[in-house]
Amino acid sequence: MNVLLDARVRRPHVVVAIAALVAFALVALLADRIAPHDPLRVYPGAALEPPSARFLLGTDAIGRDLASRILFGARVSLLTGIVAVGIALSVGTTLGLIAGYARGWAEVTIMRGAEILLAFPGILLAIAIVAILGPGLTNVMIAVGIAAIPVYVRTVQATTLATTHLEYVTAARALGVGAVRILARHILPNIAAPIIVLASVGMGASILAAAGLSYVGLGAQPPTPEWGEMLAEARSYMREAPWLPTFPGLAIMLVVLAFNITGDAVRELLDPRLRRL
Amino acid sequence: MKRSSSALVIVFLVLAACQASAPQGSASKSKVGGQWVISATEEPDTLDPHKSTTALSDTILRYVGDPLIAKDQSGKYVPGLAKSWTISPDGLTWTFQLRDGVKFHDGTPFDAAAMKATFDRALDPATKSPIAGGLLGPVKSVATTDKSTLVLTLNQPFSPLLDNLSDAGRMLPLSPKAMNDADFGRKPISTGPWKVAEWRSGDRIVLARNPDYAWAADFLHKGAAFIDTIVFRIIPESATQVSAFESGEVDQLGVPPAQVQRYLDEKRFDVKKAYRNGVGLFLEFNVTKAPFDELALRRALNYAVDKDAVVKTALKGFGEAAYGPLPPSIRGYFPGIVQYAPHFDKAKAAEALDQAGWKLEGGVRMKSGQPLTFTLYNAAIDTWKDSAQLVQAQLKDLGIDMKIQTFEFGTLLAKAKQGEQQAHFLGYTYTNPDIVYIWFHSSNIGTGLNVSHYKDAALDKMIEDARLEVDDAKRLKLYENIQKYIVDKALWVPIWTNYIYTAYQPRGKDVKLDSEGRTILFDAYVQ
Amino acid sequence: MIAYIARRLVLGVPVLFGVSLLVFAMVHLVPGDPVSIMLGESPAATDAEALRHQLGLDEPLPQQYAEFVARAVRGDLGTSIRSRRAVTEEIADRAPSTIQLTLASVALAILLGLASGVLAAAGPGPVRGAAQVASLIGLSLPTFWLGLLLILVVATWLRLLPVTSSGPAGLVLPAITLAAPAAAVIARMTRSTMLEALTTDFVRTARAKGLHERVVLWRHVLRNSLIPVIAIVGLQFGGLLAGSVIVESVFARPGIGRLAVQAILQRDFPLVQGIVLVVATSYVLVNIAIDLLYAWADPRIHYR
Repeated sequence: MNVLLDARVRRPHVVVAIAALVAFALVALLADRIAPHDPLRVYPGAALEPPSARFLLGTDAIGRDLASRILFGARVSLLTGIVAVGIALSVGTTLGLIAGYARGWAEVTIMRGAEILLAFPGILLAIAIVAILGPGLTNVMIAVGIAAIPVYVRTVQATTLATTHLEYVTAARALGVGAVRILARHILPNIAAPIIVLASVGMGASILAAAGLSYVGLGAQPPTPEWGEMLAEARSYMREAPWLPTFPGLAIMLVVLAFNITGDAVRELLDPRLRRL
Repeated sequence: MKRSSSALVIVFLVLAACQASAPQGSASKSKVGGQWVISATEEPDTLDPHKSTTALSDTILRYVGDPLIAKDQSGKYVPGLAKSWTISPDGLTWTFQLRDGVKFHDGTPFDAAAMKATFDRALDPATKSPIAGGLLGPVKSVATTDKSTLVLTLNQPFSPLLDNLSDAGRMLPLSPKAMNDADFGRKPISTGPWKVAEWRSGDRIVLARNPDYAWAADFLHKGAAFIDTIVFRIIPESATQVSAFESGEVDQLGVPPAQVQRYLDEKRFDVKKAYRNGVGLFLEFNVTKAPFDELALRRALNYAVDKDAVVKTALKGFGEAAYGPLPPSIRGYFPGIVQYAPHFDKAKAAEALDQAGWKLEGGVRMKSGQPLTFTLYNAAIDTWKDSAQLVQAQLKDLGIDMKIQTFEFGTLLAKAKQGEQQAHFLGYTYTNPDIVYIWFHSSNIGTGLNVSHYKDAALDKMIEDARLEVDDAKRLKLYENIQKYIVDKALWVPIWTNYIYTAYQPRGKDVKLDSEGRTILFDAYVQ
Repeated sequence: MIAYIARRLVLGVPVLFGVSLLVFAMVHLVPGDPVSIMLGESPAATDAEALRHQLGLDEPLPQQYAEFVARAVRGDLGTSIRSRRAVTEEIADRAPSTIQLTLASVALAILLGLASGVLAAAGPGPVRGAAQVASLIGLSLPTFWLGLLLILVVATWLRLLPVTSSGPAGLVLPAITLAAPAAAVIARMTRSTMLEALTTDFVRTARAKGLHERVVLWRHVLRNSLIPVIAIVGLQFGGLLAGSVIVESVFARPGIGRLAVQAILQRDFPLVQGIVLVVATSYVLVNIAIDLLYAWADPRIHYR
């Protein structure tokens, strides 16, 4: 809890960012309670209407309330972030731990594998995976998650390796302390910091990547309200209905910005190197 | 004195003659030149007319080749490369007298032998022509009796043949010298007012003026075209197309419905309207797969779709609801189909669903414990995507769960041919009622476009009879019966036929539309 | 030094093999029979068999892989299903556009990023804050949104630049769009390395010597900060190459990225496979080059 009282966290933009993230999470969870309309409900005759009392952010090309769609889109984005980061974190951490702790063949295989995956630029890997699995929101979440695994593997392996070389860990091993105990008591706390940093920035990056893939048609299919997909639908109406591309784009930017600011603050907090500054 | 005055007279006469032979209007030379940029969404698969399946290749090839028989702006058949033709009374022998003096872009002279080589290639099973071969129908052999006479012999009468031969985009003559070159599909050689100069993959296809061209149909001007280069610029996003058009980088644009009203109001550009030749969008059922193997359900769905709402929202009102397999613009259309076919009626739809055994339970239609749900295969076309979502919402109101899966158009066709889908969206453009053969004859299942996979000997016979019928009035009646039959069997839910708006930069002059709404650039020039 | 280069190159080879293996596996992981996908219709049994044999699909997998690699090395990446042209031709046709865009974006990203990073580290007070905010926004901005906005404002309203020209003027908007996130990353890295450098001993010494602040900045701080930036550029290169997917669609540029998306949507697997292989291989080679550049620039690594 004293994390929150740290001066570096109390800076105004960080506070705002964290508040924004909390708001984002709340909106995502409570979307069905707070949305003024059903995001899938079509209002015939009300297509492309500018913001009004009835439709706070206007309507889209076929007459659906934009505000409700953006609110539900938060739910989709949050889920995307969680699933993608979840996959990357769980698989990546496990592999990294094994590689860093067990060494030997396991390490060589895992690290070479990670290097090969890293040889693909992230989006390209995600695209290739979508090519295999087929377009769709779930597949995009999985693809983005898989594409992020190598970064976790590398980071966790490096930290695990460094930790196991610490004197007290070497001593513990020599004394015959079980691997699980060592992992849990010494290594996990050390890798927690870099993982949290990766995860907080990763949430934003995953949302952005998934939005991009949905934009080119490989991700969320209509009528799912996903912010990237909504931008894709809006691009034909930039002139006629500027609210259509503006609000989803703003939503993406603000949420990703909030994650980035928070991730920065977390990194400053937890990264021992920067603590000096 | 006499000599000089007669000399003067001669000079005067010569000058007068020169004036008379120059085309009317200002000095003809100033019209030649310039570039005209047309935007396209997707590049063609190939420009070989016998191998292509995309509509854009048809459009481009119309500038590159000439038809045997042309259609003037009122839709009347006039001489093209064939200056006259006769059809035997039994409809089995078609004789064409070809023009003289026509040359291919590579200098080869155009004659009956070249046309025969072209047709033989289209009919050759080894070419596996997806469309062009079918357009020739029951032609069993092509012969040349002399350099300028071509004879087509048919197995049976085929009333659509005249119209099909006027399709310059598929039935154009191909240079025999070049037609088997490996890169013929990138650079086809024909006889038209422009030739293919360059195809930069993914970017543009450039046509260059053919200065030797002198054989246009009579309703067009004599001599070569005026515009120097026509560029088909591939711009996949319609928003970018519109931006490029408005900033002057593109000269001709197919206007998306969202911008039509603005263009009509602002009057900055020349906008021409044409009626879509074909049903622009229909929902087609795969009758071999549940749940649409039941006629009753298919009929119920025909009451469930509010077509006018779709036209109003997805097309912004620039179109009409469709009720049958043929649009009003095709001769053979039965106007009574509008009253004959089911109209949107939510109450009737609910009742029909109930009677088909699908009862509403908690907002979802159920039958024997199964909910009524299906996946619609759709293509990534903006108006189709909007329409799909509108239909989805309408069906949801009746307790039907429709999911949408979007594919690239070619992939959609491939899957539909294999019968993977339960239902899909499609649309078509065609000019004669023989389109029903393509969509509904059982011989087209699997390899052709009978993607509803509907097999019915009775319908087959009706379609074949219509093809054979030489008497016009009788043929119209036959097509009327076909349309009613197809509506009865509810193979489709026809949704809309759109109006096509094309906008042109004001620097383009004398741009015209043909009888099918296509742009004629031959008489046009750039200021 | 030579040893280092040699070692780095040799280490790259197994990575390339791994990449090719993964790409090969990709296509065979696709659900559905590749032959019926390629023939596009209910194939006649004889046609399917013939095609299967022609493509070597009836051979054991390891043998298929060996042939795949052998052909790839010779430059044969198969034939595109849709256009029936060689995959290498399709890629070669579109490579210049993507390369142009990537180079322009890298240049722009480095320029903008360095400038922004320097300002964020050592500029006057309010400028520092603004520069940092700009980098954060650049990181968070969806590229497709930026692209659309740029087209709307700069090309259509202001008519300053063309939307879709293939000449140099047409490169500006797409390059800016693509460079923005990369510039942001470079800016942040520059800022942090400069801040680190500013507190080091030798800088304090330089200041104590009475050297002008700007000399201190340029001569000592910036030069040392450049080194990690080189590494970042390598990483960003991949992002730029892949980010071109979206930018090329928005600006109608005929590049590899757009080709990849189309190929996927059309289920044109030989083409997808070829593109992924080519792009990944270039990425590996570029990273090797960057590593070597890095080693040359950073005196600490020279004699490892």
